[in-house]
Amino acid sequence: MDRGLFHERYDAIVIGSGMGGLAAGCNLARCGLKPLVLEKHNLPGGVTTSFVRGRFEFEISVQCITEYGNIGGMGPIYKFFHDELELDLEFPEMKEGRFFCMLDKNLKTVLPLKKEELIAFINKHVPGSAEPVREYLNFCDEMLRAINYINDNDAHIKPIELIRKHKGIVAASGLTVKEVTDKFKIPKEALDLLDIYWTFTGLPMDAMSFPVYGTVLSCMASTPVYAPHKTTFEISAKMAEKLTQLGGQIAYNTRVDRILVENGAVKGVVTNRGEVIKTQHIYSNALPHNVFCCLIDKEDLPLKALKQLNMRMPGTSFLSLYMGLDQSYEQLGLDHYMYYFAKDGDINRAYQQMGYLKASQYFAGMCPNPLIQDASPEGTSILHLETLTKSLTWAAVTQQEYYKTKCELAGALIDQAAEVLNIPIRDHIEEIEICAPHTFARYIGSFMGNVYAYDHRVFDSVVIKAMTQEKERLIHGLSFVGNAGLLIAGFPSSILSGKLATIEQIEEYKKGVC
Amino acid sequence: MSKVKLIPGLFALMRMANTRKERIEQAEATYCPDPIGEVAKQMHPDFLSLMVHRVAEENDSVRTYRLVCAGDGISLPVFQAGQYISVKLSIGQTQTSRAYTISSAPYEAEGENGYYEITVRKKPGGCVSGYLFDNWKAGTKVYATGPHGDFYYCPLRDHKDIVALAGGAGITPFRSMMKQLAVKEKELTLTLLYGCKDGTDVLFEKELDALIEKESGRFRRVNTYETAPQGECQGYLDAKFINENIQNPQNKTFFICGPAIMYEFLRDEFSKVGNLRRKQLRFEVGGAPDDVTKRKDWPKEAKAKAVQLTVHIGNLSYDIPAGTTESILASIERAGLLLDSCCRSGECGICRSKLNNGDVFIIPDNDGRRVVDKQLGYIHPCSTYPLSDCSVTIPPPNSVKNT
Repeated sequence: MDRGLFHERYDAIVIGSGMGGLAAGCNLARCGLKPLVLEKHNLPGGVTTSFVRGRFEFEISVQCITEYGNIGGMGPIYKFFHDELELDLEFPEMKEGRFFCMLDKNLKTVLPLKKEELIAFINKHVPGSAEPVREYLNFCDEMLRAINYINDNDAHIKPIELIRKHKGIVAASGLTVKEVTDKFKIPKEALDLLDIYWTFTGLPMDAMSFPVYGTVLSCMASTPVYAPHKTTFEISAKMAEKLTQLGGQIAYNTRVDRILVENGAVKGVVTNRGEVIKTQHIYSNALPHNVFCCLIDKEDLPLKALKQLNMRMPGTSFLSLYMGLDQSYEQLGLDHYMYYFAKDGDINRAYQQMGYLKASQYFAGMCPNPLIQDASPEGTSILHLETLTKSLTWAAVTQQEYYKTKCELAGALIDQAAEVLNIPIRDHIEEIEICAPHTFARYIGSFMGNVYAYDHRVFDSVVIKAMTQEKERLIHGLSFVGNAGLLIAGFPSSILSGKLATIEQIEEYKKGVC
Repeated sequence: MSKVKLIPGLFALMRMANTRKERIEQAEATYCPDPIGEVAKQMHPDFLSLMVHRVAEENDSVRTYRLVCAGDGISLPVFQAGQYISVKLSIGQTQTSRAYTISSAPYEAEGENGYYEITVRKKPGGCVSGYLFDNWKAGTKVYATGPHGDFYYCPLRDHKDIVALAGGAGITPFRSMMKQLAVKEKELTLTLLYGCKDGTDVLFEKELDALIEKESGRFRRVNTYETAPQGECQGYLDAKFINENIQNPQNKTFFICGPAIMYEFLRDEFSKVGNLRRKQLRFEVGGAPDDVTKRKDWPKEAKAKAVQLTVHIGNLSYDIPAGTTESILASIERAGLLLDSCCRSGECGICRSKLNNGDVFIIPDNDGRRVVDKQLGYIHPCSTYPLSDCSVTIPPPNSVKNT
């Protein structure tokens, strides 16, 4: 008999209710297993959430939802949300392109969303570039198709099949973005226009794994892209509800303080209140750094686990600011849903600026109102600006300097955007909140406050991770989901990684039932 | 024919797989420091272990408690002038909390000898304030959250000229702001419009006068009284009083802190002050009302009556007595159950719970619930009143560290 908050044992324990954790929990529950999801915060979602200030509700992290649509149809996220979990979700499709400004060239334009329009647009700016750009984007599409294939087959991929059906991804998996793009001989100025989607990745082109970037570009250029309607908290909240409806359990305010390991296999967890809960399967939405450095006793931790951590390149965090403005988007002239501001097309410079405690000259923006009319009360609008930042840069900032530092950096981003758009943004700020790496560290607890867990260097990217996954698993029964899962960082991949990670246990369970 | 060829690609892949292997072999087997996580934890600890250092009598019914870190070598989290801490209390079988504005300045919290001060008015029949007056002495251990709240000056949002409107004990955040501004942020000015019942109701008078004298070009104070001492201004904090004392209100940001009745009154009065925009008015949240049935929006058909509350926490459930005039949070605490709370005004959402069934009244003023939470039936129990028998699912408490 159980006389406590929890049962003595669960089929699986999920640490963290970010997208990876919720997807893992929901997928297990959907297939008849009993998972327990433990969340340290009092809300589900991790960064897939929103917050309220005054009369505004702000989306935290997701500008657009990709992999919900697909090349010529619906994508794996739609399949999971709609067909498998039967979630009651609807997203408006983005129809307008992204506002794009390159300061040094005095270029202000709107980059079309659809592939052929995009090619025509680039060709107009850089005559003669249509063919190589098209060929390149087609190759990017191959990356997305291969990732879809991996998802469709629930990770049961025989390497030989992957080579037969999707040789593009195999051919490109050992290559950097630069190595691949060089082969297509795209004029530099044309490439600069495509590179604005870089803001979703944050690595120099000569270090980033191509399939990661190719997938992002393909999603943006070749698939319909959607926007979160009632913020992505709708997704987290409805997944958490579904989890319980399906027989799973979720507990908030419950941090895992220890993972119990015996003979190299997980046995259970100890919570912040000292409860001991048993399981043989843990899906960790918490990063490997958090798990290996903080949750597993030293004597149970293979030295190699620490080597595996130090082998990786820490990922990226954000300086993100959210503003509630006291005029409508029409009054202010915030006509676009997505914005991108850049000094030039120099991605290496943009990457370098992530490492300074100065406002970057490369940043993105979002104003939800043109697409989502009820995103804020009548007569108001929301503007979100964000730039990638390396957490280590912030390590020297003391508690005392922190608030001032983030206000200064945010102020400089606001002023740059105000100048380009010719909108007196500061005059209209009714509410403002600024998130820095510390904010993410506080709420999601991720190592160094990183939002993208690890850099997608070639040696740490999807195909190589898939190849080495089993060999590198040091603790039996412990899998990682979310940002540090099998796929790439970001919203759709986190969800799919959670689903993929649970397949093996579900199959074992089904065999046992038969 | 693809530009990216398979065979060389396979070789590159093998090389990279090998790079991965080599990197693992060459990597150090050391733990990784996380300086960002550490600072985040200093700023937002799970809870603060404090001790009453000294108690100052401001007048018959108001005391200021100076709180210091209970452990050695620990410093207090930085805060912004205007923020509050939520003090955790165990009174009989009731585990409860109260939000108190930090009335001391941020600079006074710095260093190993740093402190927070909170200023408490003893309410007639007030269970918590009475408990504090009877029990808190120098040496008493106190548990609290770190600093919270959005009631503070933001350079990106607010005008540099601040008008502070205080009603009675609502002076506390402005004491903090004035003390801080006297030392830092010298480009700001602050005019304090202070509404008091009578001469004895004025708090921190000498202290604030000294600050005003020192910074006479930047600080100013005008009091108004319901029953004025001789030679002082008589009347409410109203549009007339504001207009008489504030030039160019459209270039100022108004911070307002006081009892709920003052907010209700001021919202109308502000329509008669210049052409103020909503962004210029920043109201502090005020905690639970003394008597919810006196609110204009309290449903007329609702009767003061006992109802039953079924509370689910994980696999446990309890049937507890509740009443229509008491918040769901208060009933849960009275029953000896633990539910974390912080602002107790509906805003912060720390007590977020699910209403499974039953009719409720929710105070709309500071309803900080997300759109989807409203749709899915989530409530903030601190500002929700049961009008019928209800069932709620609450989260477990974050920690069990209460005094």
